Amino acid sequence: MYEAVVAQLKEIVGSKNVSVSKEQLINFGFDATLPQYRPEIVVFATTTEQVSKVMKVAQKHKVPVTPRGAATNLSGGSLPSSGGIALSLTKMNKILEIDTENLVCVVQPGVVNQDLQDALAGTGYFYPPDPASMKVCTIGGNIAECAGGPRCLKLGVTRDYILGLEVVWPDGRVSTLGGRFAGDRDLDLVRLMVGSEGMLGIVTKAWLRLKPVSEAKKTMLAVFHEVVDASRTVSDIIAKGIIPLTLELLDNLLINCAEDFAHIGLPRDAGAILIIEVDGYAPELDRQVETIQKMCEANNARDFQIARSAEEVDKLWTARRIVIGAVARKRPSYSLQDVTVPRSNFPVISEKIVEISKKYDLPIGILAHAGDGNLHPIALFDARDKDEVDRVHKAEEEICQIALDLGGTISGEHGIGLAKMDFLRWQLSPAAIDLIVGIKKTIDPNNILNPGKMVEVS
Amino acid sequence: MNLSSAKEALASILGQEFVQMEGQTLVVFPANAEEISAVFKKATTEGFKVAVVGNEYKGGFAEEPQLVVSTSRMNKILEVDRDNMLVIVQAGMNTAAFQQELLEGGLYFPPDPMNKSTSTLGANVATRAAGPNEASHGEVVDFMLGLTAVLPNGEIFKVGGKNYKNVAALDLNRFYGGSYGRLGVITELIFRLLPKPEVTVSAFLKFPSVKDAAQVASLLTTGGVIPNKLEILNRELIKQVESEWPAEFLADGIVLMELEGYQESIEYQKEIIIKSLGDKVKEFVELSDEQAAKLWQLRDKIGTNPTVLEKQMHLAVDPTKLLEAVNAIFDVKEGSLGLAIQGSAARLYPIFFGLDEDKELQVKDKVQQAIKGLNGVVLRDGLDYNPETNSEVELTNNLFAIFDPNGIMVV
Repeated sequence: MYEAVVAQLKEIVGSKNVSVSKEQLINFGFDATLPQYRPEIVVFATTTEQVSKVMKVAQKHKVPVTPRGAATNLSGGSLPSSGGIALSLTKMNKILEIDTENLVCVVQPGVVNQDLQDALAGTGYFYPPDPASMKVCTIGGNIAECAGGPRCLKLGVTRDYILGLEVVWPDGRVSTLGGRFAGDRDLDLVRLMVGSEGMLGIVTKAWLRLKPVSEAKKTMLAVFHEVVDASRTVSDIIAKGIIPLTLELLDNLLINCAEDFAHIGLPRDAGAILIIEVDGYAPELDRQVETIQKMCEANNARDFQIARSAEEVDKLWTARRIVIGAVARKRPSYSLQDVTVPRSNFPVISEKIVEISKKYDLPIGILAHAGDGNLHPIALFDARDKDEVDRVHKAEEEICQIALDLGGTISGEHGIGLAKMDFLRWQLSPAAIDLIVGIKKTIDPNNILNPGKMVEVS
Repeated sequence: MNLSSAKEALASILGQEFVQMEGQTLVVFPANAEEISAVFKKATTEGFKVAVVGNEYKGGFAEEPQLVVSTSRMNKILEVDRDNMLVIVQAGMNTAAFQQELLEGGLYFPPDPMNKSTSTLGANVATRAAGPNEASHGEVVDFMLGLTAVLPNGEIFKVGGKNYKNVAALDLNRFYGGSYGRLGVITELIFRLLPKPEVTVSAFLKFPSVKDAAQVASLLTTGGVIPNKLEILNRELIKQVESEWPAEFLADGIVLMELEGYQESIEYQKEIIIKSLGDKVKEFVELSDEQAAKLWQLRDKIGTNPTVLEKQMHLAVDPTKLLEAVNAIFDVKEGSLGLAIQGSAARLYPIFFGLDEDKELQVKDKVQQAIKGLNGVVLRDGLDYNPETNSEVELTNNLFAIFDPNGIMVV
């Protein structure tokens, strides 16, 4: 049945950009979560017009389309779970314009976040959203998931940096929403698209807001015996009127995973470390650092250091960024959660996670953007051990339930995708879910764009 | 439908004093979401068209509503959560009163819409309000963490919560931004807050022309310190609409700026600014708190003057093209030209006074062409919903219909 479709797709994007080979179908069947699927056709688009025509063909033949960038997705959103076309945007990877003086840059969706950061390096300006996967993940994917990262408390999330989007709708129509100057104050379709997980449209171009780099920055490392002390410190710092650029927390398990890999002298016996950064004008930082040190000491920090060189800062951040990959040395599989709680409940949830870890006999590490209450509990296991997998699922469910009981959310920055579909109804009322389904059906009446994700569409 | 029997029925829900008849319209003042829900159910049975207002009903809707819901009684802060630096507030609360109450407790809600002395927070969200500090702090909607709303079918619906990061499905919070009351009534909002800045100072600069003032704005935005607020006004604008403006602060070109930050950095910011201005400015006048309050209040008053709102254009250009844009406007000027500029975002608001209607349209058209020639755009402000200028009318209407399938809400 797909032969006619394949022929039409080849006509649109060229033969070399369409593949039905088994190897390629396997390549495009996974993301950063465990499940794997097979698309029936892999398509690379290189222009907006091609994306539009691909959608028209898909629409005509009712073929599902799952758009994807680098597929670092942590909620299964880029999995081609309904078969059909896996539409890769990675070849649309041009930075179209960088205009630092006017604080704007224009990119195609397949631009890798790090490549944009590199292009901006030395200009005195940067693009703030920096998810941990920034070396690989694409801006299009960041937009689809409303990606966060370690600096969200102060700088916000991807949503806050999108001025405009060129979007191909499921019927192939192309719209420009907002733009260089944001736009009129109508219904905010730009913000509707950010975080829509590839269900409503395909972003083919984005206008991003840049920020000047602060003239000064200080990086600190605080070491604690207990996670709970570290998490209290976080609340105390903010209560003093300081909004740090980052407040990253690693617990003992993850300190050791990072140290195994990076060998930078992290304290292996510590209960938790906090990586704290403040930025701003040079004269204002010393007093902030002093206050932070006092708060750490008041909460039983056993050590407090200020990084003396850029090299020391780099080492700390390397340790932080590689830690998710580094856990692979301990166990072959991991499950990364993304719950977020009001910051004041952070000490409570970290204690509960320790209990869950014991209850299910699973190593669960805690990595957190502690300033905004966003936690990434990482359960380590072996996917071949069915009993262990069951326990992981139970632990995941329980962590999500606890987060909701504490006024939190099941996802701070990874999205719902496939992985958290079943949990969404615990968080949202039927009325809210109906509205979301309504929006999906209005924009994609035939349910062909990334179907089967986020909410059930009957 | 029978208005007087509906009035009795609504009065039995809300109390006599909270239902008023104004001409052919019933205006109700509910106390909470539950009451609004009951009101909407009644409106649906009666087939009423419904409008939402923050305060009093002044008309002005495209279609005359039989029922108007005012949120003016829902005007209190419900919870200040210091540990999480956020606030839960009823949507009918006045924006300025809200800011003030928070500041007294050391907390800061930065968005500063010019109509804040009369507007409500719910209306700020529905119209996507922002103020002169938009370039540094964003719009009201950017501070939203959660909302409670009553849908036109009477269902009460909550979304978001006390979390700074939340991507559990589509962002229905911000969907209310720019909804102009078409999605029902917002009853409660959760906003994130910032700590009150240690120091806020305002300064005033005088220039021989508004062009000189605009040039200074460009120098500042590339000079290392972007002021929190940077407003430029010309003499003609003030002369035409604001008689209370103090004479000692009048000049052909005026810059009013606000800096905020830590004690140590305020002096430092001032030094950088004065340095980047070079010999363009003879005097950097730091304002006393009273002077600052007065001038900012007058700035707001000018920005919300009915004549200004009716006549001004809203133009956006790249900050590097600000001066060219000002020149282009002066090139096509006829009659007298009032000009306000939001310097840090390069938004221009020219007004042509003293022209007949045709002439004014012609001049505006020329300005529009000139701005497009600079790759700028003409934007419209969000005080009224105007479907004709919305580029995604059909889609927007279809999306509104999900929330309001019977089309009872009017804007």
